[in-house]
Amino acid sequence: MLKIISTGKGGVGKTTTISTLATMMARSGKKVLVFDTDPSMNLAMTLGLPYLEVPTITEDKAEINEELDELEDGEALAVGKNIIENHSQINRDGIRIIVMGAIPEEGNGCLCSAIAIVKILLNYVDSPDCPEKYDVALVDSQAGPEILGRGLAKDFDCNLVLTEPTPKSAEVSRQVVSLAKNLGVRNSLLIVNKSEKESDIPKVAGLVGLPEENAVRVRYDHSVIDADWNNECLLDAYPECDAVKDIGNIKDRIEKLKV
Amino acid sequence: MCEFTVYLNGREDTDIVATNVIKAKVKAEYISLLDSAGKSYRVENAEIVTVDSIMAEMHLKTRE
Repeated sequence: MLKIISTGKGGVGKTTTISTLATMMARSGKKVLVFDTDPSMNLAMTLGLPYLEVPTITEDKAEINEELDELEDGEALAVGKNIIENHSQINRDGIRIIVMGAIPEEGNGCLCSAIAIVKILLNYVDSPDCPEKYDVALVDSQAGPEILGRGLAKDFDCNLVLTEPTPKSAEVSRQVVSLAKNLGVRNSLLIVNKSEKESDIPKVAGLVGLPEENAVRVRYDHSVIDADWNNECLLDAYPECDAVKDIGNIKDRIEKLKV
Repeated sequence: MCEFTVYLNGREDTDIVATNVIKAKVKAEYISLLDSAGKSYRVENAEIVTVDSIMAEMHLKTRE
């Protein structure tokens, strides 16, 4: 199973990119699993599932924990079966969606425990115990480098490092690339999103510290904003737009990765 | 992050018994640890000395 995470500063386009990639992959016959680990959870909605219909891990954390406690030593991965059955949904393209959720109430601590459950789940779906064999798992992460500090992407195949063509955005990506390398992520693909000039690529790649050949340019495209306003899937509403074509290039690059 | 490195009888790298631990249970004969990859560990004949959320460390010692 190919494991991919999207990272970067807030608002750079992680959710739009992951949802479009997931839909493209599912429609080309791949069995796709997506995780929304962003507390500002939009991924399910972007993939066409109503926000309130998606059960989140944080909502049901106590129940999941109870099950973990009941399992014998060495059987913890079995908790993944329950999470897949009871805490995920499948959209019209057959993409299975798991939403980590947000902190349910004030003073309720951090999201580390929910991230830990996601890690166990990722190990479960990648193990022989999981009856469903997924071709790809895509993780839409929260903004900033913290998700990598939590070790979620350990030994992942690819980090999609999204950035706008600005120095501040590139600085967050530089931190992300460094952490991902130390975590053993095998490939980093720099996605320069909302780009209006070809010359953005060498400038941003230099700031982030990745070679230009690891970069993909996604052109600025107002169709992305229009699709959001109309609550439409970008791929369905504007299949020929520049952004969709460029995200298609990302898909091609992922398929050529050495993993 | 809130995942613990668990040490037994010291704080050197060589004293580490498990990393990324998310759960510890005290049983009659051993301490059961679970890491975030879903792997379990048993530390026989030990007790918990410190749980330190700031350093994300848990210290165990062998029972006398």
